[in-house]
Amino acid sequence: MVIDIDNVTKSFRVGSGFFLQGRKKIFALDEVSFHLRENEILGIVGESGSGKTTVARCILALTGIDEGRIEIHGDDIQSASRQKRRELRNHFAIVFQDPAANLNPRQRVKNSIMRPLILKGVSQKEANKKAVEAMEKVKLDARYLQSFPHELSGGQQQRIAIARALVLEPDVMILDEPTSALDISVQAQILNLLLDLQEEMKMSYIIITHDLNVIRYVCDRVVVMYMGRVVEIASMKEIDENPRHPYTRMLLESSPVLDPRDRENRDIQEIGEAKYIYNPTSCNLVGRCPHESDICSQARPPLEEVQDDHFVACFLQK
Amino acid sequence: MNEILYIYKKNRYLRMGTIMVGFLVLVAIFAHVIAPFDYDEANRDVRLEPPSSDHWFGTDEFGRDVFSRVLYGSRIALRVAILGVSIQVLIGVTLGLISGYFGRVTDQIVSFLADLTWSLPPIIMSMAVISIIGKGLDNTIIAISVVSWAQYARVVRAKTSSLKNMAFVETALAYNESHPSILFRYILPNTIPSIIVLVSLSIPNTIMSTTALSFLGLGAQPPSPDWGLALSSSILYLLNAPWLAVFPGIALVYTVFAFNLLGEGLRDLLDPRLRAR
Repeated sequence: MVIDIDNVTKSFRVGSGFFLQGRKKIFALDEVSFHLRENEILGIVGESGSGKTTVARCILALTGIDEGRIEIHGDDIQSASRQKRRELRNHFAIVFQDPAANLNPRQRVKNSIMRPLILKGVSQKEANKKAVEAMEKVKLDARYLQSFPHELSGGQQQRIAIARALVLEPDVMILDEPTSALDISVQAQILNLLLDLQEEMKMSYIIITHDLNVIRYVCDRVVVMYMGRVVEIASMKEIDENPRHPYTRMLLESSPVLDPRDRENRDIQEIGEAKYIYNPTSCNLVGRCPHESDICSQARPPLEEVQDDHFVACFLQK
Repeated sequence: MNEILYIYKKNRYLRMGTIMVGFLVLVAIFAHVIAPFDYDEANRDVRLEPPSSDHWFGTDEFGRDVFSRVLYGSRIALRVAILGVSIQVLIGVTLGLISGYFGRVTDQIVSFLADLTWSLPPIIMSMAVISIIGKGLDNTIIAISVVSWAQYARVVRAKTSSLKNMAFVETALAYNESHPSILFRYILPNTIPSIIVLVSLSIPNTIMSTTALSFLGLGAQPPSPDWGLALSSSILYLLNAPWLAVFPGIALVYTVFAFNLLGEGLRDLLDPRLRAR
């Protein structure tokens, strides 16, 4: 197992005004558990505010957690010493959503790519060589090394962000909405590139997205999150063919159907607005779920294995 | 190169500002060459003479050539601009970076200090500071700067706190970049356009405030050719010898106007978003 996330809770204190400051808690992650296997592409899917990006930030220890453990190859990164944490971070590379914001606008592409290597103690010359190699891997001409980010297109910028991630030869790439700022044809190019690289370099990916088509196209397994909780974990095939959690079903139904002839067969349920009110004693989906029963508002459904390698957090699936 | 030419063609403020400031700088550098007399060369025979072909701007109560004194005064104005703004940038940018990046208590303390210095009239505050460190031109510059760093701190703080959440900073942290390195390699370079704009916009204020303090007798001391001092000593002769006030006054207005134009031009060029303020 590459990453093992066990029962992680992360809350933010919110509230405005002098007296109310920090009184209210919002749970960005609530008892989240899942793991990432070797050479696996794991998708994390959910709507905005479901805690997807917070997961990524916690894994890298860019932010602390309240409870739980995050183990990288068996080492707890959150409680590790500074030195150890630095070592553990070297297993990762991260690419964020916005291509324009991913690169320092005042640095040439070359310096942006070489910087992680230099921090790791690689010589200038060696770093330069690796930067050129990385550009080859992401299929960009080496002359772009001399450019500034604003001189490049969104697709090129994202390729460069990926190139920078690659130079460290990470075991795990965390891709936070890697394609959502790009147009469809460029999205396909980037996803294909990512798939090729994964095969070539034997990496694992965590792909965070709200776009189910991206997940369908690249992922082996999917974690579905809703309001900071994991509601379902299963292989992509299982999720597609046999979604067990009502929220997963809603999500699948809301995803656009590409073939216009299929659109009429869709059965779209009228679902209410999400109510982001934290209630420790009921299922988060209460009020939005079509299959609600009494027990749903009395206790929280735990995440349980209902089938081989298929976890669901719903009382109705027992 | 073509880009620069194009910008100059389009941006009238920048064009005028550069020419006017450039002229001022040249005058300051070559003051000793251009000026027909030394600034403290007194000649009893020509006291309070109106402008003539010998003394273009007339002479003052000691028979000193006003034209030469105005020219030498430009050196003082530039000294004020450079020294004053350097101190302001040093204090303001440092505090702004720190408070914007680390936030929390540091931010609250710095913001409180900035608000405090900003809420008091700068001249009064500087007079208080001068009463502690003593009068004189350099002390005046220090006093003005110590009370007017707040605008730098505010702008840099706002920029920093938005930049620190940008993806490229988070990514850098993820590959183990240290905090000082984040500040100096990633955040500071991205705030420089705003700082440049602020510099050129705060020069006129600094010159005006220093002049005001010199006028009150706290800044430059005689026989300095400072324009504020010249204005102050011209009061006694205002009706008989108005040229004593008019020419240093014009020089002062010219300087402030030149830096303002340059600042406006740079702002349009580098940071159009600041325009609303």
